[in-house]
Amino acid sequence: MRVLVVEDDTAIRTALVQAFTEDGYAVDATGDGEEGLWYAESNDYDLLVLDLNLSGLDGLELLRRVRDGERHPAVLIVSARDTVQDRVRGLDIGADDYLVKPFALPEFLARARSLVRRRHGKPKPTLAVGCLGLDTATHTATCAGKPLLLTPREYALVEYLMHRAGTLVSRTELWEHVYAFHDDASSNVVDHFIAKLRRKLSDAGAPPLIHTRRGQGYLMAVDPGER
Amino acid sequence: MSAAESVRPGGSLRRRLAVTVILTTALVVAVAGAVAWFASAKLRRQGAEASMRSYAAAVMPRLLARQWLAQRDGRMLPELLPQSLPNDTDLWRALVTRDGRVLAHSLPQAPDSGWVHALPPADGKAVRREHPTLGPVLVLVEAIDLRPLAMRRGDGDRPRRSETEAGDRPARREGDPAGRRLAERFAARNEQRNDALYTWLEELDPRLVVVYPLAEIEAEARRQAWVLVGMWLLACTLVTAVVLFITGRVLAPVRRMTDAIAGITPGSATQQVAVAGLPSELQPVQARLNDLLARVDAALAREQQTTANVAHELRTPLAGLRAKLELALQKERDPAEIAALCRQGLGTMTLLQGLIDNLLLLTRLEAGQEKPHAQAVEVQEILASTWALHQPAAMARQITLERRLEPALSLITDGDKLRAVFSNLLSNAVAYATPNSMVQVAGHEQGDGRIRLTFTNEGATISHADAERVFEPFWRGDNARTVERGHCGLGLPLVRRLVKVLGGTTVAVSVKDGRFSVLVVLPSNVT
Repeated sequence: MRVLVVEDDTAIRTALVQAFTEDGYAVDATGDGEEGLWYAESNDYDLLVLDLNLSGLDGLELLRRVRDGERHPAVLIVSARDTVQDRVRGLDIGADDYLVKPFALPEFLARARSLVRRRHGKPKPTLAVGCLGLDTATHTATCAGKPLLLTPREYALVEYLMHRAGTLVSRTELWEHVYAFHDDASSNVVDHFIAKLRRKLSDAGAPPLIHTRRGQGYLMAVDPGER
Repeated sequence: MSAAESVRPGGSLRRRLAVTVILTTALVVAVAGAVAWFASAKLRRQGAEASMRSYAAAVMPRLLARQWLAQRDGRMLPELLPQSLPNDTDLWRALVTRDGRVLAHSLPQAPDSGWVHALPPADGKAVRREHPTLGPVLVLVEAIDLRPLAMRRGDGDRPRRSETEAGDRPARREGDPAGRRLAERFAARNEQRNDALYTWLEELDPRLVVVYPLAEIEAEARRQAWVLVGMWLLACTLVTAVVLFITGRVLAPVRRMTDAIAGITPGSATQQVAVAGLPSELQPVQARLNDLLARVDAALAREQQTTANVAHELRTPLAGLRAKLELALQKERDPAEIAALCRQGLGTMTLLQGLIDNLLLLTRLEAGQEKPHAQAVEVQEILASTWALHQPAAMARQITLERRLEPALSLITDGDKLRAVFSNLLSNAVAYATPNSMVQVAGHEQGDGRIRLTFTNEGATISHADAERVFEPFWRGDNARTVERGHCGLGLPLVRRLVKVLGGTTVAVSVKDGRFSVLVVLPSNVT
């Protein structure tokens, strides 16, 4: 999952970036509103974490412009402004959630997960495709009931593919949602990780779940012929 | 003691007005009525007295003439007097002697001797007395003037008689000596009789008593008094009703205004008093009140904004701190990672402490709790020592300091506070200046016992109109937060309040080409 953090307080920003990264998210972060808007308009983020007091461009204005644009990330406002009017205004402009600072980090991450699930139309915290099961809350995968050990990056790939199960996901799209802007990696890396994943799955005794559509991308499904 | 306690309530205006008007009217009407009543009573009494006196004066000669006649007839006066009391007036009257005998009277029944004995002296003054049957009466006692009698008897006759001795008598004597002797004998006997009569009369000392019954007059006076009291009560009631009605009408706008004011609470939609049809006397009150309300409203809004700002500014570093600590505890980490997170947390903590210190200082300055401690201070030295603190930050952004100070610029002021002013201004200039630019500090004597210091940096993004707002706590020109650089919008507000404690003034000047200047004018001697 790819997340953009637009927060001008360095301490909070770095903490959020670290927390997201450790949870396997691909994170971009900035403290400047203009720059944040540029990020949000040029990448397809699953989640935008937005502070309201920003230099350059006000948080609410940024949100308004993002909502007017092409891309539709889930938006979580984190702000020290705690009045009802502030929260109502933020939500009415287009935020999906509003969290008042200071907040508990686990709660913040749970809300982030919930927003991502809803964005992909999968409100259930566990995902399943064939024998492969995924618990987004605990970041654990199982294959036919047995635990499947995944690296954060592999987990991110599986999670995105499972969220989009049954639909064709292009290599670029997959790459965009798993790698951050500053990650020094090309989309070829995706092929490498897919190959590793397939091996792990077949080792665990699962039937092939990730199917390649040459020149188009990948499809996660029990039966690829259904499409 | 609060203001509310020290102001004693002045009571009801309406009641005071009503009581004053009613009491005044009641008193005036009562006095006027009393004066009228007394004047009327006095007039009646004077009328009674006058009629008594004129009667006495009129009857007196007649009384004497009768006496005289009676005497000439040779009849005894005591028999004559009662008959001679003329029946020519409605007044009751009596002839009494000194020793209290009633010679004659026209009273319904003879006055008893006790009453007669208690009569006032015969001095011609009318006196009020109680009569056993007539009730209150006015009594006038006049002594009957016996002098005319004395004239006829002695003083009047004797000269004539000596005249006769000198002229007529010798002629008569010569003419008829026997007749003359007889006449002389007769005259002598007559004179003797007259003397005896006069002496008797003198001893008798008859007095004319005129009695004027007052019962009717006094009843009339009492009736008038009751009428007056009734009129007085009626007047008081009318005045009370009118005053209450008028004051009620006059004070109705005040009541309406009170209701309108009571309707204004901090949360209510309208924060202005608007009462229709206010009299012109109350319109300025309403206007002033609205001015006051507007000011209170503005102050309240500022206060709320400040509180919100304080909360916001405190929450932000707290959120950072909490996130760092939670991150450190979220999972098993190696010591180096935990140490890094703790260091970052500590950095945030230090910022938070600085913020709280500044907030407290600001509060103390605004409460007037800070006083200057005067000492001799060199501006050059203060600038050098404070610049040293900000030089690392300045160097990191390639910012240099340009000093344009008058040599040996010194003043007597609070060195610590001036240092804080310099530090805040330099820190501000370094934080907001364009990288690779110059911060300029100029200072010189103004010539009026004041020193003028100017701090200028480049890279200002605020407009000239907003320049003054930099002194509002937590105000930031472009909403940018530079907390990580230790700036949360308290530096310049602190500068302004510190300079005020030092007896000076601060002006922010934003020049068009991006140069931002803060001008500080300080007295050379703070004491």
